[in-house]
Amino acid sequence: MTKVAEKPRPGAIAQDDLVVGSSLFKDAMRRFLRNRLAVVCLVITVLSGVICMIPHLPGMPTSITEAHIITNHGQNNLGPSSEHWFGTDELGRDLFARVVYGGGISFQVAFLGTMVSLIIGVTYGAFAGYLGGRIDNLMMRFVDILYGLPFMFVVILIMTVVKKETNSMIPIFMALGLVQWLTMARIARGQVLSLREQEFVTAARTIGASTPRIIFLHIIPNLLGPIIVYTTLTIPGTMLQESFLSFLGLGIREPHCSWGSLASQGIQAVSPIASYWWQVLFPCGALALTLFSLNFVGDGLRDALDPKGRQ
Amino acid sequence: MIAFLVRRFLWMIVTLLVITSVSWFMIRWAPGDPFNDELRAVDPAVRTQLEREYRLDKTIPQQYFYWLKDIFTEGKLGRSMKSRDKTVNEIIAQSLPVSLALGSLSLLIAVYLGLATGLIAGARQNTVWDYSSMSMAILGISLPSFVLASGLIWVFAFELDWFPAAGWSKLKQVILPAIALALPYAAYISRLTRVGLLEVIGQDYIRTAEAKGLAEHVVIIKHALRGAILPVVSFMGPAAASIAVGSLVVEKIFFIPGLGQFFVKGAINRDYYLVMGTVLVYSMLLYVFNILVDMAYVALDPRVNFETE
Repeated sequence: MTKVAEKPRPGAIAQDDLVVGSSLFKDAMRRFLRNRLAVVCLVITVLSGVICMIPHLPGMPTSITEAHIITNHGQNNLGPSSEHWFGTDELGRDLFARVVYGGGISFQVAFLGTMVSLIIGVTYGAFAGYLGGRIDNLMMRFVDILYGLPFMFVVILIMTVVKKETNSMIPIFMALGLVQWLTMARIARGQVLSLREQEFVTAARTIGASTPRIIFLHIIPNLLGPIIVYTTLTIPGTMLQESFLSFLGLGIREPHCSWGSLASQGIQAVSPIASYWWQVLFPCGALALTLFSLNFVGDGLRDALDPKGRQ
Repeated sequence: MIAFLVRRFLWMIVTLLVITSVSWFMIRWAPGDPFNDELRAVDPAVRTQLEREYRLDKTIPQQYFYWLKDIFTEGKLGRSMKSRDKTVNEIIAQSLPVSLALGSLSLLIAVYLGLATGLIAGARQNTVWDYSSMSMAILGISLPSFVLASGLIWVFAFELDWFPAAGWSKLKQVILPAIALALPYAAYISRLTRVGLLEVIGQDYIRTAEAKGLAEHVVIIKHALRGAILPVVSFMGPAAASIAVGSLVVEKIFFIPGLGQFFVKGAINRDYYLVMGTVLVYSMLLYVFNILVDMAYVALDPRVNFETE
């Protein structure tokens, strides 16, 4: 990973190599920026993330934070208008406020869940790969066994284990993180297996660095490329799983909402007689657009960081 | 090959033991209990009676071992705690075929659709065909299946009135849920096929086949496909298992009485034995499909054999 250079363009090799030394990340950045679609998607992701996080920031006027739970009597199921941009729901709550607020929840759950899986997975995988031998074998066998666990079932089990009264995001992203670290552990381990044979690790060991020090300070920084790529692809995955959970009624509970729970409410209101299309379209649209962009950003990053372009 | 199967079978037993014991302790330690109705509390005498009947008066590890013993000696998975006149075996016998029928149809759709679009995209790299099918694929991966499903219902059930919106008794009712369930998997298969084809297509044996003057479609289908679908095959194991058991979400939208529905109900109602039964069936299916995938690998790739597996 450290020595990868871009395929030389004819004529430009000598100049590029001699005059401006280029690092892996500079190369990657250039390749990423050349990918128009990925850049556009990155902008969309950042924009929607920032907008959705505004109501969740500390110090914001409570009117923004609370707009999504204010019910307006007599204004239920109104279509989009200049007053309610996205219309209102069956309790007369402003759907725009709810979509923005719910988006913030979706982003937080996705991000924190991914972080949980990242921390567990990378630490576990790095230790297994570095320690090697029988310990590695044992640790990875354990991962194999956990792979046999039905993913969604485990999340649902964890969600039902948590008391119904607690209305917080913590169990949701913990549950999602706890079942998603397995692939991360495998990726990290595979990378570490080749890294630990390299000279800089031997050098660190020679001067007496402890195992945790070598793992956290020497090995994990060198794993960054594949980890960044896999992380950007895990975030939309986690967001999708959260929306499934909320759709099944096991995720975010009223009065809070996420894109998944909003979509669920909208879809349940659909019938052949009366379809309040805005209650389906806006939450689903926001969710789909964000997931689409996140996936494209992840793909773009993978192409940029791994020029061989796997998968 | 027999040694391979025996080894995998033993591993399956170990895995299932670990999975079921973990699940048992998790669901047993969860707050809430299966007998309390939301409306009224159960009479204490009745409760003691019920607890004895379901052996909940023993310690938690003892309960687990009794559960295991019943499976090994009589093949019984216990009785449901909510619908007390039904055994878990009966519930699974009723709902698993539903899930499997829906699942195999979806799998078929996913494989055909995925392979077709993936091969076209790979064979015509960087053309409109490629870009449009890959954008569709990412859309398929990004859209949650409930969005897909409600879109399908809206268009084909409400607007066009071609298919019924929900239910499970006529053949017509299978089509929409099968498509909704298949599309995300078709998208993954399409992407994997495309990359697989691109990797294979530069290799010597493909050039040889082309040099012999074979038509393009013959080269791709008879020569390249075999090497290109290896990544697809390894994706198929877990995909087949999760499709076969049915997406919880799709089952819910279309009111399909599949296994996933019973699992969710069981987990919410603390129906311990029902949850354990569904977890066991699902994990077993997952494992069996993975073994089948490994065997398919040996059949497809001459470099892999059962010793190296």
